Amino acid sequence: MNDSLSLVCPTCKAALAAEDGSLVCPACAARYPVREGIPSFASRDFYWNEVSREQMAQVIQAAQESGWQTAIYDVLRPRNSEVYATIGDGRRADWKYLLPLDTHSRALDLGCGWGAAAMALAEVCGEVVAMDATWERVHFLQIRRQQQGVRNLWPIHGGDTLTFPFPDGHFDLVVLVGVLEWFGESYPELPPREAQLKALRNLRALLKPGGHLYVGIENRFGYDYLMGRPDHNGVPFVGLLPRRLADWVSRRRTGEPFRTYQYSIKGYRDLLQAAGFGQCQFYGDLPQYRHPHYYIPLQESGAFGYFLAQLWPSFTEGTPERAQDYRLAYRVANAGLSLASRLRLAGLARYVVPGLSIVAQRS
Amino acid sequence: MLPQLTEYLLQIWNDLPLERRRPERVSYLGMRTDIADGYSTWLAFADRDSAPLFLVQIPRHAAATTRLGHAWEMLQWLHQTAAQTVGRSLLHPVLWDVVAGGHVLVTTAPAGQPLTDNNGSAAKRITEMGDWLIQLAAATRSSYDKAQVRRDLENEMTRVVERFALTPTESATIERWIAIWDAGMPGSHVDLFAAHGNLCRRSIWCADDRLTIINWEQSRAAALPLHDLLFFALAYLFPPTRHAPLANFVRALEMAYLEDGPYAALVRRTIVRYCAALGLSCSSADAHLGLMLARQAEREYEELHAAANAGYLPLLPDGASQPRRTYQAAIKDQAWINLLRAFIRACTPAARPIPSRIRTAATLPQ
Repeated sequence: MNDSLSLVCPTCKAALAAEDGSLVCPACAARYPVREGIPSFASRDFYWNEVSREQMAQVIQAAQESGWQTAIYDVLRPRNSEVYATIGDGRRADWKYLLPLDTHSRALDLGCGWGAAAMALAEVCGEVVAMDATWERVHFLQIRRQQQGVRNLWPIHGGDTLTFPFPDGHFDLVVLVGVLEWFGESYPELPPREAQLKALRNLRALLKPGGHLYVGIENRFGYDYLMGRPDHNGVPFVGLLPRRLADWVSRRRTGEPFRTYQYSIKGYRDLLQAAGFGQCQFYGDLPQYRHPHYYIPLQESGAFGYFLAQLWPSFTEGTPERAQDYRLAYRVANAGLSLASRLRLAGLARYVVPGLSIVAQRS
Repeated sequence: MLPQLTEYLLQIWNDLPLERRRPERVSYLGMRTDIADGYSTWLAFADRDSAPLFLVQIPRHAAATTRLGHAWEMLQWLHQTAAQTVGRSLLHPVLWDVVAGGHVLVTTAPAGQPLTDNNGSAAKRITEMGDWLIQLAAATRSSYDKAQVRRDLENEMTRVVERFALTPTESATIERWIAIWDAGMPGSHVDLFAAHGNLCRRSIWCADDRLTIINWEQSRAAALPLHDLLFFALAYLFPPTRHAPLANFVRALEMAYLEDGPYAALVRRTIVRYCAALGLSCSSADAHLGLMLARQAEREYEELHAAANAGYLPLLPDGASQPRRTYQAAIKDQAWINLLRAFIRACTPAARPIPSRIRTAATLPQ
């Protein structure tokens, strides 16, 4: 446990004290265990991962014995090459350069996953807290950061309750990568949009005045969804439907309601403004926000037009990796763009980019 | 970092070599580069301009910081030394400084778009680059003590042999290449030339037949001749993704140097023309190719290793004959070492002799 990290009781916000390998709240007597040096604020044993729990145990053991790189290449990659490409590629967090971070900045990566973005943020920030509701993920991140000698990164287990062990106004940056759409699952008693608003307002309170929120997420009307890529519930086209109809289709197809709300650019702006964020900047992530090869400023017509004219034609050649994976999507997008150009509507392409990087500021 | 950079640049705008009035705002378009490069690249746009004004490169780790610092120095030196010949194809250095706790390199922006199959034929590009490299070499030619150059070369190749645990036969082939190079350079001094070092497609931008060469972080002020030409002709055929099977890279080597196809013929003619323009002998072209491959293998390993140690794990494709490899084995079995081994195999006595083909090209009708 890192004593230099200021942790407070998620319930009453009193400063926590270390006691017998746990963190204890002197005000309400709540007790939070510390395992492997990682404080745990999770309300339940929750596991969500791209590999099974048994496989993850093997990865962690290999990481401890042979190093994290060997673990994810030798153990994980044969089972899931997609995840391998995700974990070790810190370029996924190049959006960090769009933010006014420096060595005094404090960042919270909520839903940090395997920690690639958190590790990348630790290069430019003074303090990074990486939080995930899956214990094994933060455990892996702890092993990795120790092996890489990173001292300003603190993995924390939790985040599932959306109450946080940090004082208000503590962070300069809160990061949500592939997380915002899942807040509807965190508050099942609330309508999905209300659940997202509640979570965003809780997170806003953690930011200093003028602090930033980064959101990496899909565009509800991205051309990949228009082409039939399944939504988060595995059903294609459902996110394009009006919400009530989407819920009906989802219940018919999966037996579950539709709660993983995503939005258009305008929809995200409205949501963030309602939660108390302003000055939203939008970047189109191509081919998608999890593996961006381009960050395209969508509100700058000059830059966007430049991308369409000069860089888009060489997209498959300009991307050193994964060009093969997006060949079909590229062809369809290219055909659509050619048609739009003939109709002098190429500028509308910004509204169907598949992924978005959103930088918002606490109002 | 970019917001702080913008603020800083706007403060010192009048002192910058940028031919534009001070803008109200600057926006950035991010372009991913190879993980081995070790830096993040951004094009900056002023106000509503539709052409980028400057290029920003931000190193991710210490090794990349060193390389970008070298690129800054190299650009300044080239603008002093070769401005009359290749200056128009070079970006102008704008800033190399610490911003928000990290280094950042700012240059003017390239015009046009990166080299692709869509913006010019192979014949055109090989010919163009041959001409450009002749100009670069002519402008940066300098004489060095041959014995020292040989010692440096031998030390470099020794590192390659040890790094990749080359067999005695492979090691002997490299020694033979050094001997061929030595024999082709009579006298106690040899001429060396500036080399870009990473002349792949994405390092070359073209706009209306004007080329701009970027990414000078692997450059050398004094390198063996033919390095860039041999590199470019080979890398031009590389697959667009490093994640492609290694066999695809070896196929590029075969098409460029080991077969009798039209592309190989084009490359040979360009080599002959390059050597003739600089008064060099073509007889050791095969040795130069082998030494280039060896140098690139070592460089590739160093870059990938530095990236992985900094937490940027490279995507390592499966080996041609060993689809399941450990990480430690895979990182030493990437594109360039496979190319080196393939060329060594082609140079063994049982295979068709490469040297005779390149030498013969000098006598073929043009």
